[in-house]
Amino acid sequence: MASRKRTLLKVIILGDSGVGKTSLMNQYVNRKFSKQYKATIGADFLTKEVQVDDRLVTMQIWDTAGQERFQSLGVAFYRGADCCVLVHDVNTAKTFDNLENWRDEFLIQASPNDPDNFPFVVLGNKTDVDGGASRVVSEKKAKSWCTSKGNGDIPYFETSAKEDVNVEEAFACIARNALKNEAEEEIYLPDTVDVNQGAAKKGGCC
Amino acid sequence: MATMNVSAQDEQDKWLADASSLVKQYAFYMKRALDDNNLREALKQGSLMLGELRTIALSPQKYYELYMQVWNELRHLEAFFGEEARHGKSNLELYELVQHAGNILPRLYLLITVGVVYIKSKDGAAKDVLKDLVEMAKGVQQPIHGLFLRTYLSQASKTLLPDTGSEYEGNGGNVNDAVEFVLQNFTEMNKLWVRMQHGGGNRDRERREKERRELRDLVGKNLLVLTQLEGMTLDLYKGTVLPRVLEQVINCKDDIAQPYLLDALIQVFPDEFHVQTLDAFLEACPLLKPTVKIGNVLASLMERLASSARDNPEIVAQFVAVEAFGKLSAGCKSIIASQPSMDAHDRLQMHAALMGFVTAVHRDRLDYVDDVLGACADALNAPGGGDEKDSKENSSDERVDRGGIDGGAEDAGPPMIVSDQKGVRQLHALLTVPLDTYDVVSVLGLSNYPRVMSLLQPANLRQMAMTIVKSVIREPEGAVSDATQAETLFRFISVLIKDREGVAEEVDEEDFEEEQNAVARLVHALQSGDSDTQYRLLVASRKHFGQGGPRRLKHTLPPLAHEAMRLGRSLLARARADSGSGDSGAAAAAAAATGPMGPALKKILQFLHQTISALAAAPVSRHEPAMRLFLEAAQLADASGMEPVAYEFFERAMTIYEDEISDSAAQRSALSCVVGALHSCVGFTAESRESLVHKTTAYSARLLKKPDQVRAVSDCAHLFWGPDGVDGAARDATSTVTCLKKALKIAGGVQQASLGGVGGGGGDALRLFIEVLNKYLYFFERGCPGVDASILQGLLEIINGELAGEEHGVAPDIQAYYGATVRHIKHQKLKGGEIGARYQAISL
Repeated sequence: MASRKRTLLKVIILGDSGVGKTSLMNQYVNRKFSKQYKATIGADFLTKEVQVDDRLVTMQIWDTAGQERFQSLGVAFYRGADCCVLVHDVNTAKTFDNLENWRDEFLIQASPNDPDNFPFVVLGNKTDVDGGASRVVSEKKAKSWCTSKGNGDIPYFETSAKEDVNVEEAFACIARNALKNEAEEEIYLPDTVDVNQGAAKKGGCC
Repeated sequence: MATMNVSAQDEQDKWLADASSLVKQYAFYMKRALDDNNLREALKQGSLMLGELRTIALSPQKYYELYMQVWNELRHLEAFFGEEARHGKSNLELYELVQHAGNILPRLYLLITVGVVYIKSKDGAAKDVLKDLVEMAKGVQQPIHGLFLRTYLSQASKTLLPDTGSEYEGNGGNVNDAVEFVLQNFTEMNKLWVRMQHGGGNRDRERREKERRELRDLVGKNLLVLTQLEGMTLDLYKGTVLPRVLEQVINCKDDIAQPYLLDALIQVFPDEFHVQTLDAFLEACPLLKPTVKIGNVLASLMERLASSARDNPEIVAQFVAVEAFGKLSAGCKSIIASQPSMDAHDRLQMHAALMGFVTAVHRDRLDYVDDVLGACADALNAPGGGDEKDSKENSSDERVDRGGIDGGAEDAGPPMIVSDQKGVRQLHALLTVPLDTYDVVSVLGLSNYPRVMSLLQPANLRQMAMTIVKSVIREPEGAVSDATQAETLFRFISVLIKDREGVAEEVDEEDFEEEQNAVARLVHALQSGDSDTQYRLLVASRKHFGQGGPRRLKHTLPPLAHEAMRLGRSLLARARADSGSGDSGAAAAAAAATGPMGPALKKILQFLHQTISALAAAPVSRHEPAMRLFLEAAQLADASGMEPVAYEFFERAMTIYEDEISDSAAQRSALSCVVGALHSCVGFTAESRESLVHKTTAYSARLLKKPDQVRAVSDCAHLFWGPDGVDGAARDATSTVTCLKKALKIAGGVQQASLGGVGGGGGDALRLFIEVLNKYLYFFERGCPGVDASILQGLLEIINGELAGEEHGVAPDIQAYYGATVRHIKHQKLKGGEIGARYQAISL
């Protein structure tokens, strides 16, 4: 099946309401930013072609509702993710404290094979607000959280979706880490592989 | 019941697992066919795979999992469709070909998948293909199947809409076509969703509503698609989107859909749009089903607007320009009128949100705060709406007004009871938010504030009163600056200040202490720059605190006395500045008494007398503070030239000492306060002074422990040798020397006792000798006659002898103390001048 060798990377963005998940995705994919706040309902994705080293891959970036009341159907879309991006607002301590919950929830629902080595990336967004004056989550604090989880090598980026700071770099890292995860893909083997193809095809009615 | 649920869950899991493994199998063959470029076979396997979505056994969440799985597999098919070279069919041919699928659901999924490719190729105009697809989707009327199919359509078409600036704009249509398509999909989805409610009997209602709630985001997501359109302008929203959505919301008459869709509308569209369309939105609210909790929806709108005003101050001008506050408060009123059965909690929530809006947007409009409080009080039938007796006209007007809105409802009934936790929290928030935003005293003075507060049950009043106290404490000093304001404040917190008549309340001891400490701190917040007013503030506080009973008095009276003292001292300072007399001394004191500040000082001293006496009389052990306060007041009286008052205060302090203070350490420290106070006094007649000094020395000599006696008696030496350069200060060298000698003698007794074998006494005696030596040095330096070098020399020898005779070595701290004393002597010897010369006589 050479033609279907893996070229699709699935990335899930999680975090509290209002931290800028949608804005980060829009800045990265569409190079656009709006300061109007619009809640996200359910899950929504955009795709982007990216070059990772010498490979061209498609990133399918899933933006999610930060408000629980807009996530009524559950999180079936977590499944098959190659990387999970955790976002907080560096100006709101609670959004950082909640990263723990988002990570736990993701690991429970997506149940990756090797949770400790599953790639996460943490983004501290909105570094532009007040020129940094209203900041409450320090870089040190965020980094120390990143080294305390899993095998301790979660990359951390400080971003501003508004001013397009570090967004490209962060997603390049996300793509690379997602690609490393590819070995996990599940290979389906039918119960009965009929070497003689003709017989297997009969039952259909199309 | 529980077991049934568990087994139902297990059943669901099994069904999903079965369907999922079939999907995997069909997908496997589909992909193998794709590898072979075998279109016909791929379509056949694809249809079989999609056929699994025809199940009606799965709950929405399980169905969603299956759908996601199928969705992922369809991506392979879609990619293949896009490569014409591999299958050799034109898009149109594909479009025709997939219509042969036998079942409608797989057929429509395939059709949409091809449609995407068709639009992308630009062979088909986006608006036509999309219109075709959204029409054809009507063929699926099973609600869950239809909702997911349309979700597929919506998701697949999202990047293909002929939106402004999109590559499909032009031949593919324009943003109006895009909006039309999405709105049509939305309308159809909402109909499917609402219809679910009416299938099946009452028996399944609970399950059905649960399922519907799970599905709601599928419907709501259409609104998200609309808000994400580049071409979504305010005009388009106002002219097309909002009216169409509201129409759908109102007409569907569904309890789940109405609040959800409005909430989604509020959350996904930007504030700028909401501000400009408040009228339309608010007009729609009363048209919803009366059972819908529309108050919550309106509250969430107001909360959102408030939070955007906090984050983005630029938007505030827009709110003001469209008179948002007036509209929102009218909106609240008409909703309450349209839903007479709305419970207290929802009414409160709405007004708390309105209050949040006012405090975020109108930081300068205290009148709006009062309006909101008034509206809330009316909404909950709080008593006191309008002056019932004084102005009949007003109240009848109001009744007419209300009749106009709610269709002639009867007179307001009894106040609604707010006792549930959530309701109390809301009420508390409603009363607290303005305190945090505006000047506390002004808020308390609003006519409707007490009305809303009266809705609190007695048990919750304490908490609110505490909030008020804490708010006042947080304010800058002088927040409460006249007696009227103080009266207002005390009225609101009376529950903390006195017991309620006939109510035996059980308050946790710790809570009680915390409350009273807070009330005590409140005293310092009552400040006026004008001394008469300040005095009246003290008297007002005293009057209220006086009703608190002994448990409270011990907390509340001391700060009051301190504040009175502070006021007295500032008056005194002014009197001295005015009269130009010196800083201290008998003459200055006498001038203060007869000067213009005299009467005011006298009143303060009377106040102090009365307040401290009340504290002393309280049957709780607060004697030491009372005694110290008397001594402090005595000093104030002395400096104010009121000798008899000062004397009386000393007497009171000494009476407390004699009657109430029995612990020896407490006695020792109390005595040192007495000595300190008496030492600084300048105005006593010789007779008064002698009497007080006599008592003090007698107390000192009667202390239980010898070392305490030594220290107290040597302290008393100061009573005969007042501060330098103050007129009226005592100068009685003989008595000074007598005290010092007496102290030395008692120290000698201690030394003897230690020699007699009472363990550990040696160090004690040594330390006492050094202490007395230091007293001697003090008076020696001040040239007190009778304190001469020979006495010092003798004392030094005694100490040196002691040091030499100490068998077990001398404790390091005593060594250090003595070392420092010797260094001092050496230093003074080198100093030269009069003192240096005096020191020369001492040899070390």
